[in-house]
Amino acid sequence: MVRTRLDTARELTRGLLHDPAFRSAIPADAQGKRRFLVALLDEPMSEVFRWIEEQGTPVVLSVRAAAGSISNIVISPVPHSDETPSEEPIPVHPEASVGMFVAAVWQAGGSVIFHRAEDPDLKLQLV
Amino acid sequence: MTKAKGRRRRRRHVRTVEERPTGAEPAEDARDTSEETEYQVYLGAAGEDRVIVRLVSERGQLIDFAMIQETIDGGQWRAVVRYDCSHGTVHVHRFRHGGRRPMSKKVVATLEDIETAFLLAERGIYDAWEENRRVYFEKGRRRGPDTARYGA
Repeated sequence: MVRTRLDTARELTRGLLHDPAFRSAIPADAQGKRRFLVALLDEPMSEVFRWIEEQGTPVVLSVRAAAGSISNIVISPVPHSDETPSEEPIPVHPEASVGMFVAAVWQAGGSVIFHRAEDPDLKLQLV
Repeated sequence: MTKAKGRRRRRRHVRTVEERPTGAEPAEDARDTSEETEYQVYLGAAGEDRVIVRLVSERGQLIDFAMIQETIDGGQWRAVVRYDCSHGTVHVHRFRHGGRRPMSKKVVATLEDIETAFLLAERGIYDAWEENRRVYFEKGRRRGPDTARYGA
């Protein structure tokens, strides 16, 4: 087990103990499950996509940045609607790293609609 | 904590983790004002290790918890080590591969200070992660599966 994962999970656990606001910010799925997925910066997003396909959403993607802080990104499905989405979804290529994804979310101001892109060239749009 | 609070906590502890399997929803109890929430922390997308944290709070105050190290074994999530509270104390339950019930149960703290107990559980799981796994699989190999005796 990579130590970084354990350290990240430990900090999440401690956050749950000490921070009621953090506890209540974790979304639950239809069965009431509240889930975190601890990932590493250099992992490919394909791993995250595979996990989501198997386990579903919402999930909080938790990543420890190089500086030591933890980014918690809530990934949830966009509700189906006939209306045109207010923002253009960004493509995320499975081979893009989790770090690139986190950077894209930060660049977008903390909230972003994305979809899985299969075209390898599209991953460059994240940088 | 006063004795009166201790008695209240014992009465209120109506849902221990032994009473229902991992992932099952908490039973409803209209008389109980406490709130139980379960969090699942997956340690990587490979999905072979996770920690379950169950917190019981009342008016924002943590009154009870369980913390469980789990691993995929035979295609199913199995508890490796579980810390939980009952009768005013914190217990650690150790499991082994192939065993349905805990192979050991030990009192490790009282619930006088629940935050300290929580941090003790945290250390017992995160600091000993690999060792817990090693013991789980090694003891399972040595002892084999649980057996039931009929008519003995």
